[in-house]
Amino acid sequence: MRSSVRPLRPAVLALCLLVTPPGAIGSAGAATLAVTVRDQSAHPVADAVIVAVPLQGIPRPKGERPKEVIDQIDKAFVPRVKVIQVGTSISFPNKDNIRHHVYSFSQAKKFELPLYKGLPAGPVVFDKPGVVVLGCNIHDWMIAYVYVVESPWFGKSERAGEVRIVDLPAGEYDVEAYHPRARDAAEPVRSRVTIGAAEPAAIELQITLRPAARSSRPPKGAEGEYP
Amino acid sequence: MQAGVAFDDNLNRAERSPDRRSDTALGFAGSAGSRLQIGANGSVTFSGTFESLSFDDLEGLNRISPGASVSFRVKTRVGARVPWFQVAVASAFQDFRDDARRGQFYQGRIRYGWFAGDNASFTVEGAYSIRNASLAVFDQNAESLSFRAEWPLGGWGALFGVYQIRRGDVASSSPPNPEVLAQAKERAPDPVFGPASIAYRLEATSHDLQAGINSAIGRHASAEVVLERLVALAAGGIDYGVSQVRASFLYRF
Repeated sequence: MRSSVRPLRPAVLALCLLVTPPGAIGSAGAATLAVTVRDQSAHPVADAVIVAVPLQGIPRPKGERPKEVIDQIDKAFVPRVKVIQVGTSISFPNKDNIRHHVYSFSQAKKFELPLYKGLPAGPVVFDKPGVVVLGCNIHDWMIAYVYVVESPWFGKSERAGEVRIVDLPAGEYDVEAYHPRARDAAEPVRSRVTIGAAEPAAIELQITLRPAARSSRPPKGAEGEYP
Repeated sequence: MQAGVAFDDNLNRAERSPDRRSDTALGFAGSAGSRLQIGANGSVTFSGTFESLSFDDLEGLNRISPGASVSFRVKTRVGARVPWFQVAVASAFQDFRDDARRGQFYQGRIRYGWFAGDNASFTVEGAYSIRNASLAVFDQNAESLSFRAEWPLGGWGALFGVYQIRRGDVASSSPPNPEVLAQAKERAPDPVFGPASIAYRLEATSHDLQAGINSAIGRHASAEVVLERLVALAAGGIDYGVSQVRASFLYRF
């Protein structure tokens, strides 16, 4: 049986469940899942989003949802990839000394924060699951991805391609992997994992990436005729 | 800021192969300005520009060019890859070491840019330029139409190609040539290319093809290599070809 939750539709390809050896120790009654994400060349993949979706159902959120921040620094979104739970609000402070115009046309969240410096009027609440692609209308190379997920168990890989999801209750999970450059945008890489009470688990996922379509900075264009 | 080196195999735009002079130049260019956002989709940019060229052998062509430009750019809607228009005017004082070439340059241009999917981008540009030099033989009025296409290369750079057709004045220098003289609108001695060299002002149509590759280096810099082939066709069957290779390094703040 698979989870009925299919909130995101970016990444996928091959996936290998390689090992389940002892790893880090989780809190009492709950376990830690360590995930290593590699690309088709076995290089570690940064900025991969990992979501553990419990087959027994996603618990109702309790308490106030966290407030998150995506900065704009040196004409770039920081961080470039963020994963949040549905209902979380994100504020977008502009820390440059120029104005930015943040927008998204993604189905999961359409919004615009017209030209501003400093803090915009208010945070944006992401109330539907899905991937939200952010841009700046003034600086077209600025791009960021917000993955809005329903499960409370998620993480994002760092440079070494590693993610640790803590406090997972015992049970069966579909572990899903997403990445902005995953070759197959239709489905995430997915692996079924059984988590025992207080038993740490570790898996390795392989995700096939396509080359980046855009540089983080505009290369020299037709502006400068040289010499 | 941009620094680079360029090789040109026919700097004097001579028709006959034996008359052609090639040379290599080191260049530096910089611009600084202010961008004023107008609404969500429009912007006006005021820039001060500076350019210098220093040739290895033909020092009379060395120049510094301080200038200024104003451009208005507008996107057709909010988004990263949406069509845009740009109108720009620019002027520069071209302070050649050779007094005869020294003068003011003006250019007006209009551009339209668009995208195809996530990858290719295209620009079409129409321009009109005027150069008023100290000697009339180096005055130039010309109109041009160009088309540029660019494709990303795996996130590390881009491949681009440019075709331009230009109609207007060109300056060609060579030893006295009766066929060229018959078509020339102006002529004058041109010691930059030798004591016997004569500069001619001709009306010509030129076809210019460029292919290049540029690569981002970090978040602020890029390097570029361009190959260019230009063929100019003037009245009376007079024509010449030029090949250039350029390499440059660009840093944006």
